Amino acid sequence: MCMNCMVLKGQERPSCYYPIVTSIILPKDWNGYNLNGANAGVIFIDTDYKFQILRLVNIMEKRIMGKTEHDKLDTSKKTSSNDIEVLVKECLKKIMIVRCTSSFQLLVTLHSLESTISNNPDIAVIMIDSISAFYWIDRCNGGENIGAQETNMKHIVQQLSKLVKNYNLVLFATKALNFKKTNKENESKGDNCASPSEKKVLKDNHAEFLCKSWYKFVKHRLIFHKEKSFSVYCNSLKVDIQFTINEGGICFK
Amino acid sequence: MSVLRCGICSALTDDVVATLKDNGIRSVVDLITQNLEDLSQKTKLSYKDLVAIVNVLLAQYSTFPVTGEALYNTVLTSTSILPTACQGFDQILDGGLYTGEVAEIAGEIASGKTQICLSMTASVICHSKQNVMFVDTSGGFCAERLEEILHTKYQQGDNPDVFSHIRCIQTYDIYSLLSELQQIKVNITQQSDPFYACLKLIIIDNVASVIYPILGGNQLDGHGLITQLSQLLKLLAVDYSLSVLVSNNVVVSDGEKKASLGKVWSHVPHTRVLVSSMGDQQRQLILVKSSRSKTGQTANFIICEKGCVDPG
Repeated sequence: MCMNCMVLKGQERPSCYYPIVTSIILPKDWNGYNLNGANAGVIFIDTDYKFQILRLVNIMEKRIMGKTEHDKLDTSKKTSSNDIEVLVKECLKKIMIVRCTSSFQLLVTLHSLESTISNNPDIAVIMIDSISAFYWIDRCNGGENIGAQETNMKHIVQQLSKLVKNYNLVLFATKALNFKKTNKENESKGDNCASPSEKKVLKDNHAEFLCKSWYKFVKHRLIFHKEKSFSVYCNSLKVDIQFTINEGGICFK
Repeated sequence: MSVLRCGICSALTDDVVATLKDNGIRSVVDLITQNLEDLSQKTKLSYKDLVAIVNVLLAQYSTFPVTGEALYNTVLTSTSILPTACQGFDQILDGGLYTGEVAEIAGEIASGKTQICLSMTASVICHSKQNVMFVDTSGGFCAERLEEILHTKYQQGDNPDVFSHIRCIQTYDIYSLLSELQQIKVNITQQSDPFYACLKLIIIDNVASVIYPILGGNQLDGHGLITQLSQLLKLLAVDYSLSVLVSNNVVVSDGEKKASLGKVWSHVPHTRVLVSSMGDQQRQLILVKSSRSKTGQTANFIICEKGCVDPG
């Protein structure tokens, strides 16, 4: 597994991580059905207090039911809703949820998670929603000194990169789109953007506001938009994908 | 930021604190981010002691992970749905207000925000038999109106006991609001007052009137305080299994009505409903943000002496 960092920003962030968690914790095969999961463990760090386990369970059940109804391989062995519930509960053991209320607590928690991760070789992914939750509070607490404002964040990035490297993890973080590039930067870029391909450049209009080390640490950045429809823009692949949100989570067109 | 001092754990004596201080390590963050082997060589402190100290600090200041299974079981037993007084509203909310969530009602002046809050209060007291904390920041709470709703809709107006299920706090600035919410948290944990054991709904009417004064000028303080307030609201909702209902104003941008208070606040509520006047007593609700139901759903209600009720 390679080291990957993704940042999701903007609207509808919460809806996007449930399907990802589902794909990670479901097993690959179950009773002959190919569920195509990774059968791995996840640590979910919820700093936004937005994680809803009921929604996750809902999406998992929908995914499993969709598969069993679609495939219908084994008519002699009918899967009851009870079996699905048992599987869901089994899978839920693979996700750990941590809630943090300050950047200091997040930092200490990340250090203490090291032993948890080394004891559970199943854990392959850390998800953070959201990494920017304490940004304004840290800015206020740090006073005039930018260095002091960013101390905790710097240590957090340091510890995260250590965990990601040493234990071969994937880090998946979400971030609010607090700042856009100033109008001036946008205009200078958008002056001659007649062709649609050039217009796409404008979609990458986020300005990094967390510390510099975070900016360097992130490998892939996905930016979520909602204008008429939902769309996501990836800065490393330079592609723009549209999607819709329904009961089963996100559907890509 | 916590400073290292003796007494946090047995190995952290005055001498150890002084030695660490001489090496530039003053706070918990300084110590846990150090490479302990190097530090042990540099300070001549025993490596074993340092590891023990760090482990105690980590245990004391970190939060513990819960498995999804345990969380699921807790949520299943602790979540309750508080129905509103009006069926159409319940439908777009998928049953009513959920505990563990922050819901927001945004609307213009005289669009019926306070009426919804009062109807909700009456419904929770009489229908769900739970307690309500009404935080009034704009002087909009009207006990006579609440009594009218209780009297006409639930025939409870003469019951003197019914008003013991609601408490009203009046605050007019964000600092006192934060300390009142902090106090609610303390009271719930202390369990000395039976009122807080049955507390299921906190209403803040209206959140905009405490936040407007801190916006503008130095944006930093404003955003910091909004984040602090939102964290506290979500913490109360999630950790103590309460439902939080806030009302907010709207702003019009590009001909579209949006909840006010800007981007930082816009991420806070789990559910957001826009209420607008359709003339006379008719009101329309539009679900604009939800993690459960399809957004864009609408419902109508009318305001009458029974509070907010279904039309017809």
